[in-house]
Amino acid sequence: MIQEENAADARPAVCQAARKARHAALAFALFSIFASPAHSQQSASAASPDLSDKSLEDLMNTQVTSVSKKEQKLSQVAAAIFVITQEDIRRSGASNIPDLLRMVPGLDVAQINSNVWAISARGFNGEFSNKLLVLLDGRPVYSPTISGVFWDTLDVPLEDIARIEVIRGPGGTSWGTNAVNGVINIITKKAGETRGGEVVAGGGNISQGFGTAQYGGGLAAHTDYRVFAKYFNQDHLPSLTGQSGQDGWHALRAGFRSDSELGSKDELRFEGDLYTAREGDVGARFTSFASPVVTDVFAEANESGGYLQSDWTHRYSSGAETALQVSYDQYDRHVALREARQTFNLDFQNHLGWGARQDIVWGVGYRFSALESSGGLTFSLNPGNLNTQLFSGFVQDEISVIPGRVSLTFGTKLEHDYYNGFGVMPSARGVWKLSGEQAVWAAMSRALRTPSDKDTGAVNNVGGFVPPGGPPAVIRIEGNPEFLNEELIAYEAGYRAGISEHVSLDIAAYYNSYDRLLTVEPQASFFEPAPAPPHVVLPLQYGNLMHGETHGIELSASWKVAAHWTLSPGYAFEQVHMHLYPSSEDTQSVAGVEGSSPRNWARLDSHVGLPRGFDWDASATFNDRLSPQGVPAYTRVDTQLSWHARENVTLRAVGQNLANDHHLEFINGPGIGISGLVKRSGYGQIEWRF
Amino acid sequence: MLTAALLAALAAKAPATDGGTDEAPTEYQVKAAFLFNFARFVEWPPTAFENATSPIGVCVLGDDPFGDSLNRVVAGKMLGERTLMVRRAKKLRELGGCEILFISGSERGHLPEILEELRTAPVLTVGESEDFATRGGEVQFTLEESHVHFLINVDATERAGLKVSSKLLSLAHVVHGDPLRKKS
Repeated sequence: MIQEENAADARPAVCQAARKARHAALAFALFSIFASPAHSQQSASAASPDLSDKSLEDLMNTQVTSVSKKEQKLSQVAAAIFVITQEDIRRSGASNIPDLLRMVPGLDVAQINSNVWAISARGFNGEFSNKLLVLLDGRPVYSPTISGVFWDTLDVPLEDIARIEVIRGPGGTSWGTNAVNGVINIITKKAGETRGGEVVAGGGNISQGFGTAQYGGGLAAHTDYRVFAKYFNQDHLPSLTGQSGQDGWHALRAGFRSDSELGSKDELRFEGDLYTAREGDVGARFTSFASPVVTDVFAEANESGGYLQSDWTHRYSSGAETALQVSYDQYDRHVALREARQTFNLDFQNHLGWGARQDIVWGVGYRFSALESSGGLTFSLNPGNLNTQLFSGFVQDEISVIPGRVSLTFGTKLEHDYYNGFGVMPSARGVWKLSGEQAVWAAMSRALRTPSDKDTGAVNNVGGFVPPGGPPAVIRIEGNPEFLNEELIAYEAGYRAGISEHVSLDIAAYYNSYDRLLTVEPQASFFEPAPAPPHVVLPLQYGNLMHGETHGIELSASWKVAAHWTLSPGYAFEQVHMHLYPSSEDTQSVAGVEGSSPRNWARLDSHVGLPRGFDWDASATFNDRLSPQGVPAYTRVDTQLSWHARENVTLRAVGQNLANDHHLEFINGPGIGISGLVKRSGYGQIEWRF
Repeated sequence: MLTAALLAALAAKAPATDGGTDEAPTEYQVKAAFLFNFARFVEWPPTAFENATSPIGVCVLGDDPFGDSLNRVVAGKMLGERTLMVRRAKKLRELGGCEILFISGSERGHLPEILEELRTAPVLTVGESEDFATRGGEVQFTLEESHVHFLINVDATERAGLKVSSKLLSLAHVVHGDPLRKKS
């Protein structure tokens, strides 16, 4: 997990190791992906141009292919990958991770209220989207309670992010069960890249006040560290009726990272954080069996947690590498379900070459997660306390069929989870590099989504009525202990090209076939004497009786219009078709899934460098309507003006959602966080480095 | 590691012969050409050289990211009466006769000591770390949207007794402030 940064660092040690292996292609197999520029030069010495006769001006106008840049890596990856660089982050005007992700075609990002988001890839969006895997420095940020991500507490100082890699499509072979529709890997900077002090502070009408203070330095000759503290206070957003949504929140977080080089072959990293947040928790709550209806309840909830993680990487002189990651994560959430969860993760991987043309990665993983929960009348889990274990192993082999032109990767993951036992997730991928900067890729893969604790153990009272003369009747959604893995078979293909020095293009298309998707099935009613008053339960139980297909296309392009002006258009189209098995009596899941993501999405980003240290960035994002939810189409317009007043001082003025006073992005399902309106907002910010 | 696994799993490896002339030059090919230009547009005090034909040393301290591109651009070239020579070493004391010293990223842990040791030497220090210039380094490369740019700390070059031509300064991002300058 340290490896990924090597590309950006262009670590000479790596190059030398590779050079020593000389013609052993196995070393190249490992390192060419992460090849430093120097490496490319060494291997291309005959073609190394002499630039000494170029003028200084020419040199400054020369575009270089740094391997740390996404273009080069992207041209060779057999998947729909989009990389958000630190430059993209700085020029986005975003102040949180969900807003950053809005720039990615094929990713559905919708804000439900001030502290709740729905984020998914290629459909199936919702507050508890369960087909997207999110990693922070390689550590799964994942709650087995919902098989999803709590976006409110996924926060790092944006200045410390090196890049965010977003993969649409299954990554199940290497990552496992939640990587069904996509993987997001947030990679923070090495501590050595954030030496010195930094203070970021600002405020506006919705982001009322925020600040980050950070300091980094060297502890010993080969150890760097940074420590940070971050705070923000978000105002309430309006509710659907225009009242205050009572969903404002504030959060305080402190964290650290250290990177050590132990000799030339070993790297050791530690990182961790602690946070506390207080959130306006608005939701439809079931308050009494006597009058069994749900009412909107406005409460405040405390969230807290933290993690500690260590990564050790050892490089062998042959170019092979092993890496070990150990992490411990703990959180408390006091919403409709009060839960405390502790998760221990262990991940080992080994990367080696085999023969001249094969490159093998294999690994094993283990996760232990302990849940203690106590629910209320609205939502509880049965059992409330649960320890689950997950064992996994994977192997994949990349075969260079025509060196430098065509390569195929075959792999499979084998996983043993608490609920369904063994699951197999194989994939086959191929990439064909055409002339110059063009490449075509295709992939076929199977991915599984294992049951969450909610799927198997939910006890969720969602409403009811009092029939004349009878006992109260309560409608309840119940988990299904026999819930099966949801399954995806995905077919993908893509093309990417650097059409000219100024234009690049990336197209991906997919056809996804799903089976055993979640449905809600009516069951026989029964009488429940307690809690008082005695009542009749009309249960709906989770089932696996839906199947369906999605298909779509995603485009992103970048056009350098002039030396200081870049335009980046993006477009995504998606169609979702869901079908019930004949035995299903579900009435809502088909429409729920089909209406969870927009059919058309389009975006235009503009980045302009102005004289006197000014930069002007703007973006417009169009989201098609979500008909079944009643969410109209909307266009977001965001803009930012930055002024680099001094070498170490930058001032920013940011406007968000400027097109309308407010708009609706997502209507949440029953029984969970209430939707609000996203409002026009602005903030100012100062960054000072010392 | 997971990213590594992904890239390994998904990516076709770059061919060993990649990087032909039809592609854009790499970052370090361009940086090597900049080092050559620094030699052209910086004037060293006469005391920096033994005599009028002593070579100009372009040195790399620590792990060399340039591959052969520095040799191709620099070695054997003449500037006036002086030839350019490339030298490399892992330790500062193993290097002599350096007019330009590129301090590799591998030395970042020792950067304060290195800069301190060169405090009064007529050597143009060149680095890449984010805070190189603010720590008293003289020239700092930056990458801006795939273009190589550079900062020059004019207080540091002045302390080292170097004259930087206005042409170079006009293209550089000039910064001030030299923590290595002793108060007098």
